[in-house]
Amino acid sequence: MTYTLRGRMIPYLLLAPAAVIMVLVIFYPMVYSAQISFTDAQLLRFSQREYIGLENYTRMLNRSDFWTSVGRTLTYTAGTVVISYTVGLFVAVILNQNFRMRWLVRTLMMIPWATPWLVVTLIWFVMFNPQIGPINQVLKGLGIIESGRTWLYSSDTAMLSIVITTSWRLFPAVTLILLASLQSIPSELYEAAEVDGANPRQRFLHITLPSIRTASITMITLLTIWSSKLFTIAWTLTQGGPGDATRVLSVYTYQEAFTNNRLGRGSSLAMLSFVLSLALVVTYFVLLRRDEKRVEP
Amino acid sequence: MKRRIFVVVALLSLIAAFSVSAQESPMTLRLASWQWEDPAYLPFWEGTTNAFMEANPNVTIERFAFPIDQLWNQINLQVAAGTPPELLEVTGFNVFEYMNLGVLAPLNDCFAGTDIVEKVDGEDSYAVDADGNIYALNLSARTLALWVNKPMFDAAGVEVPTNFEEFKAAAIALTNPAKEEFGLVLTNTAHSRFYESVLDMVVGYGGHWTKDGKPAFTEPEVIQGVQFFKDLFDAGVMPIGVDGAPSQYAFFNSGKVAMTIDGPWYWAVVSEQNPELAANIEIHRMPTDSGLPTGGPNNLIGIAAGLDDATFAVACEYIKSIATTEWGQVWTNSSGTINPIEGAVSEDYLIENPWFAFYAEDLANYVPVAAPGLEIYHGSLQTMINNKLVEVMYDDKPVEQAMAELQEEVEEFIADQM
Repeated sequence: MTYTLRGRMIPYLLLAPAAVIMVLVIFYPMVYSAQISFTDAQLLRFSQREYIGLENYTRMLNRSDFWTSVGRTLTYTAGTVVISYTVGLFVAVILNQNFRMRWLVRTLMMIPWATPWLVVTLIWFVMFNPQIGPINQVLKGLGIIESGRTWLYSSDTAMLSIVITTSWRLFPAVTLILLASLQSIPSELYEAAEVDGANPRQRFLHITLPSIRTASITMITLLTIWSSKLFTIAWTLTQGGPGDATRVLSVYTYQEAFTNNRLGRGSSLAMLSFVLSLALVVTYFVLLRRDEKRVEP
Repeated sequence: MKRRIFVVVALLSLIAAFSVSAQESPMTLRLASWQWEDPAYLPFWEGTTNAFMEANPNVTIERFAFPIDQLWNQINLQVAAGTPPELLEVTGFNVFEYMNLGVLAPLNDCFAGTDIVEKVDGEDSYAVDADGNIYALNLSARTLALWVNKPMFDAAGVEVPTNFEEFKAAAIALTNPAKEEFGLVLTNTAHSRFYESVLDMVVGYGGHWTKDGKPAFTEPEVIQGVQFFKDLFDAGVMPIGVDGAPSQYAFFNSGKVAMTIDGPWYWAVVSEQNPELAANIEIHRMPTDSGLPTGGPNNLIGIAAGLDDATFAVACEYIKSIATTEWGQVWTNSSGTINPIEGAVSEDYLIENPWFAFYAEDLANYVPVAAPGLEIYHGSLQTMINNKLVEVMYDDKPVEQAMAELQEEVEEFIADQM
């Protein structure tokens, strides 16, 4: 083996362990799940499964439940992305200013991001409690409501409640990334704009936003991917209810596979969710590539 | 000749030695239960498993312990993987699904030559398939009753209710928002207790979720029962958002709630958390028109299907070893729930706990919690019913419309299973 050949192989050899692990823990389960989705597998009769072709897919795609669940997923995702991004950007802009104890505020803002998902749900479960929840206490104190609102149990407010909970957990990630991006904007740009008579709104719209465009695309795409497949919040706070008001695709998949014991159908739902996630990832790369081309001289 | 005799003797000794060692080869059984960490049931599980291991030194019984909301997923995954725990404690609700899907092995051979079926109440009728195969040993049976905070009734000059009309009137009379006092507390969010609380009302009107084994959500008795619960809910007599046993207990234990509906196990909880209140509690028949309680077998134990003969035999021996009056008394005395074996509720226990006699006597009247004829779908059915009931309570969906939708949804679900 020549030195050059050996040199060429080194990167592959170094990548091999990671590749093997990825194949074992990501690709194999995915392929196996795809295989199960073409069977009538039941969890408790797994060994008796039979190949049924595309029946699970046609059945699920023809069910109104499935499309309702897709709609709920899109609502949940859109709500989470809008609130997380807007709040994250707002906080990032504030934290980009100079003020005393800025380091402390920056640290405190990261607490939700560092909190485990399950703890987040417990915190917000108490926050939304109709009897003792602080949200109702505050709203009552302000005279906005007269009696305790049942945030998690009413179809009108359940989705909003899980969107708020998820956004609370995710917005610090947006803040973190956008703050880094904001700090890389040369101050001369703002100074020159000020000299030219641009007001703060104009400076924000014409300097800040375009400068954080790439970071924003990255964050919006990541938020979309994270929230579209999130299970913990919707399951632990509302279990998909009331009715099907918060039954997003991940909850629907779990219920089919593990509550209703229909692993084959659950797997087909998981595959359809995977396709949705894949579409989002592809969109992300297309947007990013287009953005890079736009910036390139 | 001598040599031949020696060879035969040596061979026989070898065979005997081998068979003894095979009998006594170490064996480990896993016993799946959600009660391994529960002090109320620990004396039974620890006592029976230790006694069995002492009598069979080659056998080890390991704990397969998870909280009840996680246990079924764990068991299901083990079943799917082909390595289920050998001994499975199941509930009176999911036993049917496990029977139907072949998770549990029939126990007829195990019980042959014993008097277990005669001694254990309901053993020949509950968790038994159409062919007469018995799938589990009943460990406890229960009903629900009305628990009354007597001082609140006395202070308001209200009599303990005995029918729907009196029940509603008492609940309203005993509610005082200014003092944060409620007439009643019942679980009213998607939870098994919510399902059963509303079913109590339906049963009070003489109905059930099914009729002749078919969904009957649009029957007048069901509509009336759900409407009655809704009327109580809207009247503000119960705190909203009560999401299960701990929350329900906390409200009643506070001493600011006049009535709750619960099982005998609640006695230990209230005695520990508010002994003063426990001393002033009365237990009464369900305050509905029929007065019938929901209930039935609550805890059962079975053997996983597909075990080899030797493992099945040892698991069977364990089950037979716990089906005795002595262990039945341990169960009843420590848990405060009724083990259905003959003599499990001892005279001494009744003298010490006179309130318990009510439950022991009322057991003969129970209406099963799982919808008759659709027991194998209990888990899914309960989810569908709870979801619809939440819409009735919190979204104000009209009862008749909600029940019509539920009827359609359940019929579609059943057709989908065929």
